Amino acid sequence: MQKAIYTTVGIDELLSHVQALKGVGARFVQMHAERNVDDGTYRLVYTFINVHAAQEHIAQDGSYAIENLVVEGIDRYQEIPSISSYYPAVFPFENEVHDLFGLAITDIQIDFKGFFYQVSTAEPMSVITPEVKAAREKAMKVRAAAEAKARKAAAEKAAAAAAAAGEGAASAAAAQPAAAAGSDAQHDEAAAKAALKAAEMEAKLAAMDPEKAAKVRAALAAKAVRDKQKKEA
Amino acid sequence: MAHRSVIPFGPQHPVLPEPLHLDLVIEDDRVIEAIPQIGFVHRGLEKLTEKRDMHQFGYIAERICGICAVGHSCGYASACERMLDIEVPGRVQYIRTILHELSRIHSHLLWLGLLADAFGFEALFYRSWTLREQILKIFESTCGGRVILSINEIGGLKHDIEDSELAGIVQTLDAMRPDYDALVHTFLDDDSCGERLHGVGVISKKDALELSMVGPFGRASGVNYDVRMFGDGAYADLAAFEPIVATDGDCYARCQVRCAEVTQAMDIIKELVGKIPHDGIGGRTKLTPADGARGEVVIEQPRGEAYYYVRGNGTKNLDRFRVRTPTSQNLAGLTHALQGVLLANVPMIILTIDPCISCTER
Repeated sequence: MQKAIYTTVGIDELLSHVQALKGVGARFVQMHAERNVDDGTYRLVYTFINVHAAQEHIAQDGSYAIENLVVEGIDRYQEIPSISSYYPAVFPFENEVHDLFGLAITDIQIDFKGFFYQVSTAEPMSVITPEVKAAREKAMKVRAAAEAKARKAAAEKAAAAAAAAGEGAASAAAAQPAAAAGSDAQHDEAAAKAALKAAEMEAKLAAMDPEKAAKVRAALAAKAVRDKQKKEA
Repeated sequence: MAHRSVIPFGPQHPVLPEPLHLDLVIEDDRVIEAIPQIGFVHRGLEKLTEKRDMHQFGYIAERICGICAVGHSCGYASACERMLDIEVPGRVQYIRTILHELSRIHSHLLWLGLLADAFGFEALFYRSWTLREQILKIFESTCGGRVILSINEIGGLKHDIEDSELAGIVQTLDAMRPDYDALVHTFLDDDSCGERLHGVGVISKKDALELSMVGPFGRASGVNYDVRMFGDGAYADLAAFEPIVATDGDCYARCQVRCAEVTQAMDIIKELVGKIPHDGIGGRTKLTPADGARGEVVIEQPRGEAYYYVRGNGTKNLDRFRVRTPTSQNLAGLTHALQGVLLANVPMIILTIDPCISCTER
């Protein structure tokens, strides 16, 4: 059974980690880049297999690991050292990352300086298309709606528990003045209703377009201020 | 000092079925340096994950290459299943492995035919491809396609292969065996073949390890590495598996390894058909990957270790698909193998690496 281990390293630590892996006889498998749609940074993943260690692990528990070094948060103009002095087989992938993602990898053993791939669009893998953005935003909205639904369910549960606790407290404190007990129960019920209403509204807002949601929030805030002023008057 | 000149080799050349370019720096008919260049037909398939959802992308992954199609399909499906944390039934793993091993046989027979053609032995070329045709007929009768089988989907198989059909596969392989043994005898023992292959394009074990060479190219130089030895999926149920390794590191050793791997694949298929479980064929999953979920897998393609990586972003489309094919890993070995050889031997050396540019230009 294959397992994957991901170790996040800084750019300045990359070569020392690669050197250590080379020192223990790990095989180089591949390297690739990924683009973070959310913050526009890049991530590099270097993959290795230590065949000797893998065979030992298989003999012990039937599993072995693919080891990955991950460099996160790379800026487009940041210089990344090539690992081709340790693993010469990496040169096609480093040239590929340069040509398709536009990342600056320095000291590649066979450096094509941007002429490895002949592509019609420069650095095509760095382009974030409107379709990708739209799909991503939609997924975020769906996720937010699901979270809001879960929050609403939790609020309802809490309200029901509070109401039950209120009834219990009322019966236990039968000796207390009836007016005061009734007032507490009414207060708890009102608070639970308000929490439920707020959760419902939050769920609706989460499912809305972000711009529209902001407008609705502003309108609600203005209404709350008006209501407060009326009460005070 | 001898005169140096640069000879452009490819992208169009009789020995190359696909476009690969080499700048050969030669001195007195001997190659001093070789610089490879690819990228003439780069298709940007990894970028297509933005437009095709992860189920549709299975068809694209399968079309990365016409020879390794089954392997690409299995690798992609397995990586997605790992990302979604799905365990497929044993029968699915067995059928995938059987088809993958059949694909290895047809790939190696295709390569043997090309090799025979390269040194002008047309009858041998014809016999190799006649045998290969029988494997393609198995594909056609069991899956409906000769090259693109489209049997895999994320979570299982589209259709089962009946036990009677599997028994038929074993019968066909048994019937092929005498013809195949005669073919191998000619490739490995005939003087006209041996003279073109012995001592040509030698790579030592040390260099092969240094250059991270994979597949028969690396194993011919003594690198004892084959992903199948880790025993993933149905390979775990084999009674024994040992990588086929040769030590000479020349073109003959590469031919020797591939010839033995065909026999090994036939034995694997026979063993798996005898042990295949009947626990269903799974089915297409309805799961969507979580944001940031990752799955990766390495498998042994006919040309060597291939790596598949998928990353989800919470939508039906993948955030990233990555495939590293054996040929792109062997480019460094290719440049090394060509250093110091006679110009006349360059086509033979390139051929014995079995480069697949379709895979590389994914």
